[in-house]
This record gives sequence, C-alpha cells and structure tokens, in this order.
Amino acid sequence: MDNLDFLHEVEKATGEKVSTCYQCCKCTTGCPVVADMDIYPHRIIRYIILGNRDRVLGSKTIWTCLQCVTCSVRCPNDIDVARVFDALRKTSVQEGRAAENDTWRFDEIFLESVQRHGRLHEIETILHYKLDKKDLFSDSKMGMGMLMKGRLGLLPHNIKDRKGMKEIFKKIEGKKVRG
Amino acid sequence: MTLTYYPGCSLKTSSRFYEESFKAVFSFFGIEHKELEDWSCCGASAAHTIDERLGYALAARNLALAEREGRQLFAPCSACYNRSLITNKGIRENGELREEINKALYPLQCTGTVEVKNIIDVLHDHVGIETIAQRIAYDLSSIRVVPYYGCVLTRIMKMDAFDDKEDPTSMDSLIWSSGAELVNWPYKMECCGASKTLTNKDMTLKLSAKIMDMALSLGADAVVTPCPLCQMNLDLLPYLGRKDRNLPVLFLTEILELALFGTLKGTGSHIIPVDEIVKKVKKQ
Repeated sequence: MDNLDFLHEVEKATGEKVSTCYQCCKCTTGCPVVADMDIYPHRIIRYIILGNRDRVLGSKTIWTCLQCVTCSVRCPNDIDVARVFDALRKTSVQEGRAAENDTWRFDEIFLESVQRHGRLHEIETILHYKLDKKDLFSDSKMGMGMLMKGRLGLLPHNIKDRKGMKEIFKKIEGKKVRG
Repeated sequence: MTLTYYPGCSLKTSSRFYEESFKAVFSFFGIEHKELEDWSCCGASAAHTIDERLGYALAARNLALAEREGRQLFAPCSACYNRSLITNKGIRENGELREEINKALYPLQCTGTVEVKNIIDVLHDHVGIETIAQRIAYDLSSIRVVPYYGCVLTRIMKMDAFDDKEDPTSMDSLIWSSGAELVNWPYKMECCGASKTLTNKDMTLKLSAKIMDMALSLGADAVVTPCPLCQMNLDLLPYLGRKDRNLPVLFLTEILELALFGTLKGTGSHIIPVDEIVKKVKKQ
C-alpha cells in the first residue's frame, strides 16, 4: 500500500514540491561529492516519495552533502534539493538516527562560541571540537602555520551587547521546532 | 555616500588582510565606509543547519543594526552576504517570520529594507570598470589569472541573484579592467569544501586540489576569489596534505591593489607565497 506520510512531512517542513521529481538525475550528475555517498541524491528524493523513511534518515548521503547548492540550481522542477537534505539532517538528529555527527557537533560548538561572545572565537571553537573528538594534535601543524601568518586570533571577539545575544538564543531555543 | 560595512568574523581574524586590501582600494577610489556598530556573527552555515529560525535571527540582528545606519549594507564575505540577503528577503516578505524574529530580537527591529551588497556589487556600482581601467598604474598583462567565485556568492535559491547562478561574469570584467590576463575556465563555481575543513579534511583536500590542478593545467599564475572561505581553503592546501605545486590565491581586491600600487599589503599573510606574482608586476 502507498504511504505518502513521509513525503507530506518533508514537503511541509521544506515548502519544496518533492513529488514533482521525475528522476532526471541532474542533481546526482552535478554533485561534487557523489562518490562518497551511499545513496545517490536523486534516489533519496525517490525514496522520500516512496515513503522509505528509514533508508533516507539513516543514509550517509545527507551528511556527505556540502550544501553547495549545485543540485538545487540545476533542478528542472525547482526542487531545492540541498534544502531538503538540510531538513532531513535535522529530523535524523532529532530521531537519533544520524549516520555521523561530526558536522552537527561542529556546528553546535560553533554556535556555543557565538552565543558566548557574539562572534566566532576560532581557536576556542577548534580546540573544543578537537577535545570533543579526542584528537587534539592531528592538525596542530596547520594551526601553528595559521597562527604564524596571523590568521588565527588568540583572544575572543566580544560584542558589547552580549546580554542581548544570549537573549536571542534563549528566545529561539525556548520553542524549538523542526527547522 | 557612506557604506555601512559588515566585516563578519573572517575579515577580523583569518582574512584580516582582505580588510586591509579592500580599504586600500576603496580609499584610492574615494569610497567611504563605516563599520557597523556592535555587529555579530551572521550564523554562517552553522546556525540554519541546527535551527532555521536561529539562522534568521542571527543575520537579522545585523540587518536591524544596519537599518538605523543607512540604506546599504556591504558584506565582503560571501557567506555573510548570502545569509544577510536571504534573511533580508525573508523578513521583508514573510510577515509571520518577521513577527517571530523581531520578538527574539526585541528591542531591536528588523524590517528587511536595507540593500545588501557584496564586493563585486560595490566595485561595479561605485567605481565602474572604465574608471578602474583608466586609473591603473601598473602593467599586469604578464599575469594569467583564473576567476574563482565559489558556491555561495551567486547560488542563492528563490531569489534573483546579482549575476548568473552558474556562469557569473561580473568579477571577470573587474579582473579584466585591472589589466591582468583573464583565463576562461569551467571551475568558476566548483565547491572548495569549506564546510568540511575541520570535520572531513580529506574531502576538502580532494575538492580544493581539483580546483588547483585545473588552474595549473591552464597555465595560470594565480587564482582570484572574492570569498574568504574559498581563499583560505585553497591557501591551506599545503597543510591539508597536498604535495604538488600550488598557485597563489589572491583576493579580488588584491589584484586591483597590484594594478594600482604595484604591491600587496597582505604579502606576509598568504600561506602559498605570492612573491612570484608581485615580481611579475611592471611599472606602466
């Protein structure tokens, strides 16, 4: 029996007409990282239409995507494929099915720094991420190189209205819904 | 007129020499700018990935501050430009979103009415390629460059971009007006892998190296880009593990700096040395 629930869920979350996909494969052929994906982008779209929730939300593909938007720009039916993938990632994290969590964790740490200072404190963010991964030294040569070239600031960049910034985060996070 | 300048985090840390460079070019052409008071991070690719509304709110905070300052907000970083443009339109056209975001921003208010400009826009609108071509003092004709736009500057969905989404040419004409030899190539828009530099270095290496290899195979002397993240990824190639030869990666305003002043303020900040390029510059 057909099950359109997942399709409707994705279309509602993204505002994209996923059902208009006619499998022309343009998204897949233009993707710069398709070789690292376990399911081709056009097939992800097809699986959404077919209601294959598990396969889509557990795929590596949605985490391999770089959000370079090549697929979306080229889609003949104007489906913003990158946006669909972005929404799928959120759902997969919410349901604890993410095939990998490195990029998600990095983004969270990035935002913690912004919440604290108002601007990104690069060194703090990088070290925090590295500690989290228990891999502190793998990129130390790169880090030193950037420091020597003046391309990493040691001190944080605090904005004046840090209280206001924290308020923004608090108000947004107060009613978290799917993005 | 004075532009309201939104630096974003890159132009104050990892790409500080980009700021020095555009300031030198702007002051040469008499473009005045004032830094946005108490600006904050636009959320980059992180905020909307985690929560779409947080992405809007972070970018809207700066837009709200800018609305008090003037009509145009100049964002040289491609990611800041992209996020500000998307948010500006969303807030302007979607009443429900506007109300929700403004509740989070209170007492700040964002109406989405400033004009968001990138570096190419500003150079085209406020200077113009004829003026640049007339004012150059150094001969760059022996320098072959490939224009590298990167993905986020023009690939913005549901919006009329300032240039073609797949084959932009606006930066090409600015480079041409500097007198450098412009090489047409198919990698203008290839992704450098910026979102994975820390989380999947091998992927970034693969993507950035592909761009560098193409530039080398075309006999280019330099890659020219307006985007701080693209510049950084390509410039980091030696640290990402690439053993092959690399070409210098210049900011768009640096090629103009060479044409106007014959030197680069940020020579010492480049990881891939730029000395060879600077040596090729001749007095006209």
